[in-house]
Formats: sequence, C-alpha cells, structure tokens
Amino acid sequence: MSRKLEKFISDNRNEFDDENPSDKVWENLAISFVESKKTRFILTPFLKWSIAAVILVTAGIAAYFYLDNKKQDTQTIAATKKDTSMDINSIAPEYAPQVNEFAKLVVLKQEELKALAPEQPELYRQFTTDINQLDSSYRALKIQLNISPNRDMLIEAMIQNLQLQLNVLNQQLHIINQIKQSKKYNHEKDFETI
Amino acid sequence: MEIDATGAYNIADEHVIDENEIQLKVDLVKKSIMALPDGYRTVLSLYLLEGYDHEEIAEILHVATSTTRTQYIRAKQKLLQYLKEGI
Repeated sequence: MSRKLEKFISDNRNEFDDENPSDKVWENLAISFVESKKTRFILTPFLKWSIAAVILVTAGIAAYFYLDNKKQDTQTIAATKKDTSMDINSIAPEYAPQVNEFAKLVVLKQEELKALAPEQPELYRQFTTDINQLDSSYRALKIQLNISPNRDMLIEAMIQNLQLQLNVLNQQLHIINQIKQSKKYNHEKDFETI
Repeated sequence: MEIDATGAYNIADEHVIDENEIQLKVDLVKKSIMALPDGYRTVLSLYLLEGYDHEEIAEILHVATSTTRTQYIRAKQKLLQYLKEGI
C-alpha cells in the first residue's frame, strides 16, 4: 500500500493543527477530577471507621481519667483521715477520741465547703490547695509518729494541725458565705434601683 | 446464494483506490476526515495526526492491535474514496 497520504499529512502536519477541542471537553474533565477527588474521600469506609474509632478511644480514655480523678478527689481526703484515726487508735488510744473528733469535723466542714464549690470554683480551688498543704504536713507528722519516740509531742502537734485545718475551713466557709451574701445584697440593691 | 454487498467479506473485492491518482489538498483532506464515521476517524486521527503507533492505539481503545491495523486500513480507504469521489 502506498504511503502518499501519510507523507502528505506529515509534511503538512501544522496545517492540520487548527482544530482545538471545545472548552466543554476541559470542563467535563475538570468535573470528573473533582468528583473523583470527592468520591475518594467518601468511598473509604475503612478510613471513616478508623477515624471514628480513634475519636471514640480517645474520648473513652479522657472520660476514664476525668472520672477517676474526680473520684480520687473526694475519696483521698476522707480516706487519709480514716487511716490516721485507725493508726491513732492502735498507737495512742488515749488520744484517739480527740483526734477522731477533729478529723470527723474536718471532713464535715470539707463536705460543706464542697457543696458551695460550684458557686465559687476559683476560690474553692485555692482553698483546697491550702487545706492540702496542711493535710500533707499532718501526714508527715503521722509517719513520724511511727518512728519517733517523742509520741506525746507529735500527737499534740497533730491535734493542733487538725485544729488549724478546722479553723481554716471555718474561715473559708465564712468567706464564701460573706461573698454569697454580698452578692445577694448587691442583687437586691440592683433590683431596688430598677 | 447471494452474498450481502455490505459487511466485512467484500473488502478484498472492493476497488482499491490508488493514492497516486488523487490530488491531495489540506482543506479537502480535513473535510474528508471530518466526514468519516466516528470509529474510523478515531483510529485514523490517532495514527496520522497524533502520531501514536498501532500498539498504543490498541491500548487506548482496549482492542487488539490487529483490529486497529485493519480499522486504519479501512479508514484510509474510506478517506481516499471520499477524496476521489467527493463526500
């Protein structure tokens, strides 16, 4: 077969280049690109489920730690108090009633304070740090009680510590109540002025 | 028994057009290519204008290489027929 046609076209190649595809062709291509991109994200159920699983696991761990912390907060103080009273009972029975009484009062006041906590979260946090400081020194005293021969002095110091805790708690309650009242008062004053 | 005049059987019987008889003009060739059926035009323009070889065309169109070869030969015959006899 002769190749005249092929030769003719390759010789005049440039003159066959005047036809351009219409814009519509490119538009269709662009749309198909976008669609394929979209579908790539939608059509990966594995990815979707793995993301969901990661979020779920993270949320679960966070919730677990959050609840755990909360529970510990409420339990540690009471638990340590109980602990010490039992210790006292075995080590120095003659002082036990006094220590237990104070410890009970301290716990009571702390619970009272906790009830007011939602109204003054910032203040409550400050208060608890103060109390925790006293409590840690109390625990240090308790540890020393097991080793030290000077028992009476230590127990007195412990009782003083508990008294101090009680005083601080009382003051804190007083402060919170005052704030509450002044707020109420302001509220009423505002109301009256209106 | 009469054989149907159309179809693939009779390609050998058809009068093969000699290219040398035809005066080629760019405008006329273009117009003739445009007039080709879609299948023929695809193979012909891929081969002649875009410069693909038969293997590549077969790959693009998902057919056998032999198919593109015969399609090209038929397309070229048709084109020459158009050029000789007018569209």
